[in-house]
Amino acid sequence: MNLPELSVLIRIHDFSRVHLLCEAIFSVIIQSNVRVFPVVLCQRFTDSELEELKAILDPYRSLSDGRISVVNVDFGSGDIRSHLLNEGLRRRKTRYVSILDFDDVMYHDSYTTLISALQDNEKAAIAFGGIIWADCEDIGRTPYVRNKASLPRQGCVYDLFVDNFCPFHSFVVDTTRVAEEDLCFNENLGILEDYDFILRVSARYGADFSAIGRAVGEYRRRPNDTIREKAAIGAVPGAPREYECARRHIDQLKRELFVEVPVDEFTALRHHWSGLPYSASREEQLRHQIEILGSRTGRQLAATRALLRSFQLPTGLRWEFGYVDLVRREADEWVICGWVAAGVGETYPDEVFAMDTDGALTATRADMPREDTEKTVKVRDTGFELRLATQSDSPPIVFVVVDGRLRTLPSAHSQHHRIDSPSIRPRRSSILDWLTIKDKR
Amino acid sequence: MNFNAPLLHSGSTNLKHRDALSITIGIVTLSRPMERLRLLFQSIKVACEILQREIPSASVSIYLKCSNRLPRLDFPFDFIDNCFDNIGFGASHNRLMQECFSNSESDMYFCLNDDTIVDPYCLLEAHEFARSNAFNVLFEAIQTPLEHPKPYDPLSGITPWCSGAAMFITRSIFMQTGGFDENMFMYCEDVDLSWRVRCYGGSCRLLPSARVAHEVSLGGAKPREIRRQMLESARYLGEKWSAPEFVRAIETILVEEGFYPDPIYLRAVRIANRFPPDLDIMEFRQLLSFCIPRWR
Repeated sequence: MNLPELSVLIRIHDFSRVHLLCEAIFSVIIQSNVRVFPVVLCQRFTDSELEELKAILDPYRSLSDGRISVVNVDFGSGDIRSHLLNEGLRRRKTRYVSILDFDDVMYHDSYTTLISALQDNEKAAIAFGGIIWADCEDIGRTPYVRNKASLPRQGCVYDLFVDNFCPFHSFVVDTTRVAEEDLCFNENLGILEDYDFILRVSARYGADFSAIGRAVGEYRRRPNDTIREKAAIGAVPGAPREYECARRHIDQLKRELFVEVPVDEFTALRHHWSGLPYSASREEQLRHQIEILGSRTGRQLAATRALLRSFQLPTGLRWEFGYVDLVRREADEWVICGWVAAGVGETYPDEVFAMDTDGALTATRADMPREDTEKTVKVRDTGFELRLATQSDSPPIVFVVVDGRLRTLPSAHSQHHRIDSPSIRPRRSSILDWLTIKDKR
Repeated sequence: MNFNAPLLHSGSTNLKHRDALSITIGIVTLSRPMERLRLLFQSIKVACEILQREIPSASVSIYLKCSNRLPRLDFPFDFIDNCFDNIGFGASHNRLMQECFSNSESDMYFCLNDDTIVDPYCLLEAHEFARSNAFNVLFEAIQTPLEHPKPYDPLSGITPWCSGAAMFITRSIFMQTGGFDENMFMYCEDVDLSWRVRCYGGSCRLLPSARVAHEVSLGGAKPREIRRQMLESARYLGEKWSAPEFVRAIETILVEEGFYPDPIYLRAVRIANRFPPDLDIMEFRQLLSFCIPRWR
């Protein structure tokens, strides 16, 4: 059976971190249903470093039937990340190409997934998958992953045009669908070179996001990531930051790029984020969602309740964003306590809402630490306590809003204790300052 | 049973300061695609070459339990049991461990899932760890890139329990514990073995430098029969380790998910050796995680 073939360009600039490269290489050579050709692009390694690198990679070469190649690029000075990739692209021998940083990893069926997406969509030259963000720390010679987030954001090509949310290793390019002059990285950019490439290819040749909801790899964020160092450069007054220069370039590129938008996608674009234009801030989007809930008409309330029920998570064990572990009736109010699972990025909610069958709504912040936090390796759940004054005998529905979508919190057993203290008593959210309580029709 | 009895050791089972060890790799396979099995065995071959290049007197043997319908594999197995009736994960590996510890000088058994690929340096790292650590350490290779979320100390490797997907079991541990509890068909038998080792004064470690790629899917529902087996095993584990609340929670799930129409249909669980509750060792409050996971 002829398997599709893909080159993965792996950049490395620091020989002392070659142990991380081994895990990256291992993750790509064991891919299923695709023949992967890793191309390791070294930035100005010495002869002895190259010899040592080849010796370390030799077993992986045996495991991959000799498909690993090592290219040392001795060019210029400073960071030549874009030039490295261009060298890799020039040497490619396969139709499909992907990119991976030496300290990240891919999941075992990632390339099969993305190549299938390209094979199914002839109008796309680049296919994107989801990337899990992992907080990582190098302890000795091995990475220690402290935390992982679920797929942080699942957008579409229009979200990409607003801002980049797709890490470097989230895509595969079909090079037969891209003109040679666009199949290169801007060597004047030492940062955001990936976004420049993604924008040009997506706008001119089409992008596929059918696999964006599927995790294809991990972005391992470390405290000393270079991109953070670059963003911090330029503290001297008057000196332009490299990052800001790159951003200006990106903004100019966006002014020059045009795309064709089918009418139905344009309509979807306008109705994205609950009808608000893309420039709407996240707070406005949340307020809009709450306004839907806060409608005065009974018909819309019923529709909202139906909407909430449609988001019900399976009972039992899934608590992707959190869960409720205590519900009790006290006088005229329901008391609901639970946990919200903290995570990386902006995905995880920090506000929890409760609504009863009559439409009464309340909210609180989830900011109570767990009593046993210090005793565990790493726990990031935060607790909440909601009080909803209502005559309804049915317990309220508890939910959070994540990326503009409603997610109900299931019930689950827990014996963890929330730390109550006067300084962190749950308080009503500022969103409720303008919220009107429903009609009780 | 004396739960305080330490793990026995003798000169022959004490691995510390030995020049070289003998490792048996045990694989149980039922229906794995041939192409992935070949890659697994190729990875084992490369890992053996690396180990024996560094430690020439170390030895590795490969034991396989498989279906008699499996096409002939061109690989130098040391033992093949192809009279395969699916007796469960724990029972299958126990048969292989009985064979290797009874009829060979093997020091350690590497219990390896058939849906894994071994990193070239995995056996060398495991060998060196076993040589420099006590006989009563149950340890596992780290699963990559989709790591198991259970916690471990990044400096000592101490972890609440070891996963059976890539677990190293020393001769001493097998002799003392009898291996996996065969009353659990699949799932949870690794948790049970880990807790028993800890009860007996041993420890569980995770070895981050020894990698194994485990082909698991992120999220997604398990097939229904697999899900049922997991819940039944969990129920048994809860009974065995005196966790009535956990047992009730699992029984509720079994009924809610439609495996039983009513709780009265749940069969009684018969436990030969029940363990008293010990919160220092076991964790049932996180349900099927059996630990406080690093992420959900």
